[in-house]
Amino acid sequence: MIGGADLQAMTAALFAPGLVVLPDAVNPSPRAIPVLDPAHLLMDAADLPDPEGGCITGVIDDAIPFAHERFRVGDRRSRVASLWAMDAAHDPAGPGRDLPAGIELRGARISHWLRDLAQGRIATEDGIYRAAGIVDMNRQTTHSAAFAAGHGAAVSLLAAGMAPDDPRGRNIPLIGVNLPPRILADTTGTLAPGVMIAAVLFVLTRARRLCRQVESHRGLPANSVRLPVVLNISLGLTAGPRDGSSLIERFLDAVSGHVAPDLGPVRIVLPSGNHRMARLRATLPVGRRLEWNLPPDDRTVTPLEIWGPVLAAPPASPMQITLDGPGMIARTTGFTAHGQVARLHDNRGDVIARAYCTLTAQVGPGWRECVTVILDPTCPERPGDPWLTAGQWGISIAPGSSPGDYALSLQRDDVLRGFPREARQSRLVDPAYHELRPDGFPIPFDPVGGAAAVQRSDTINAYATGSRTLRAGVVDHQFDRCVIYNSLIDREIGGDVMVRIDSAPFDDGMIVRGRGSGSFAIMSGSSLAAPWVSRWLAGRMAAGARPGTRQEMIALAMADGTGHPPILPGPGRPWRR
Amino acid sequence: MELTSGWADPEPMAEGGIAGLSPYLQDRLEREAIPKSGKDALPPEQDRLLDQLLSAAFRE
Repeated sequence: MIGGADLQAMTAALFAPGLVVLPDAVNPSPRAIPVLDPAHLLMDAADLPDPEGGCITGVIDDAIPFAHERFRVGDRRSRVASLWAMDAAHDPAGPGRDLPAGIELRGARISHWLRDLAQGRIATEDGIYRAAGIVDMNRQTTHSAAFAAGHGAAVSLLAAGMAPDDPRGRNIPLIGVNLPPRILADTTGTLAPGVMIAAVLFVLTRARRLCRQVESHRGLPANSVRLPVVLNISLGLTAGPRDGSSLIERFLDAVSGHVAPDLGPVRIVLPSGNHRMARLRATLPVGRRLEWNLPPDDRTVTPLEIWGPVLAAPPASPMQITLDGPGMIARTTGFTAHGQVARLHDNRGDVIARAYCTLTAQVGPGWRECVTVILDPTCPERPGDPWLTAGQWGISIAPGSSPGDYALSLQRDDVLRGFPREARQSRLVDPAYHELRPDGFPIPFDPVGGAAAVQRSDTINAYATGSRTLRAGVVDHQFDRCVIYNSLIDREIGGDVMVRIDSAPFDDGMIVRGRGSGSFAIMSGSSLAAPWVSRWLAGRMAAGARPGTRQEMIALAMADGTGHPPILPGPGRPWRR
Repeated sequence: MELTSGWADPEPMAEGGIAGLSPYLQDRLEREAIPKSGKDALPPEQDRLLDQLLSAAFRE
């Protein structure tokens, strides 16, 4: 679909446009487009980056404010080479005819709108978003592109925003993807991996085309321009294998390790995550029961992943799980093979829970079993829909399963600010787990030798356990210590590289830019650390650095920062809020 | 109300297409009664899918 025709079917299957965007966004007949299209230039010739001193920044997020002054050179030239708005009404005459859905906006067209803005033909920046079809209040969706201060605005402007008169800006062009609101609203990430892979394919394809445009403009030989790419993905999941074996992680590792003949190295930055203290993660041996609190009035499903120990060979019989709950004695699954689904029925015969048993090959040798339990809501969406009783449920690994430790992780299932979703988060409950010390301060790490099954360790973003991506964590300005919510790699590591985001341990947040030029907001979280790391890395790669591995990127950060893991310089601490 | 039923006998999960991507996706398709295979199936084996994706990403 994106690029050549042979990719078409695969991307269509990955993207599943009918499930993730509104019907008017679907491209009914995607087809290949020319590598260089004079009618749809990625950038005006004067705005192209220096082939020797440039670095492309890619951002996959929500509602990137492409008309913002910090994405301009001067007041009327865009630094955005290309933006894929996945859930905008499709334009069959636009440049994104190869995409499965939405529209592509290219820099030359954006610069045209910016000239209209400067000359008064468009009254406001908001007029550009409406003219482009990014904001269309007639569409029945969450209008995140109209949020005054959204996630995508903060992230993309931290990653690549620069003052219009900053000479570095021209050499850091942006290629962005606005994910569909349906993808962002669903924190369980049901459809996210396929859509994210499609987004990465888009960034790579357009990055390569930008290199070709630079060659064409300068009369350089084919494939002689190989700009590097730093891709920021400030997104994450709280459940997954956390061993690098998921499809999206393997893909990101493969992209990062690939040496392309016509593109520079691609480096990918992810946030560490914000769920250390959320009680979403536990480790259980076979036979031990753990309580699972399901809150009332949750109108969405509640997923839990249970990953078994690494096995040298596929087991003779699959693992089993036992579930009990209010009004239900313990019931054990009866899987007879991997690749099966078991359904739990209520007394009316309606399905109230499903369990999926799978077997996954490790990236190295070995296999892991997984059972993904997905419970029905505790509040029915409509009268007559099946539902589960809220309260204290219990889960255990049934005897007969392969011996060893089983990793439980609950999928995040709550609401993102601005996205309407009637969801509430379930928690794992263990009386031996203590969140606070007797004096009321939080306990930051799992006590050594502690008896609790619920844990803070190994809560790292489940997209970020591959071997090549760079994980960004948060420290506070006051003490330079990893903040309490920051998820952990192993027991105590908050990230590969750290960034000062929060003012102090109990005063979280930093000033970020909003959607409109000159606007600002206060936000917090490792989603903001990742783009600062991306910004730093893009600057270093534009200056010629070529770190090949995660360790080489960390070593580069140690040269520029302080401590271990290294804390990068900036962003500045606000003197007053 | 006491629940008297248990887990029903397991059935095979769907393979290939978008249904083959994850249990979450299968679950949603089943809940919303959406057909379980996309029009164009993905390679069921992850190594092959990755090879094809990587090849496609870096080839015009």
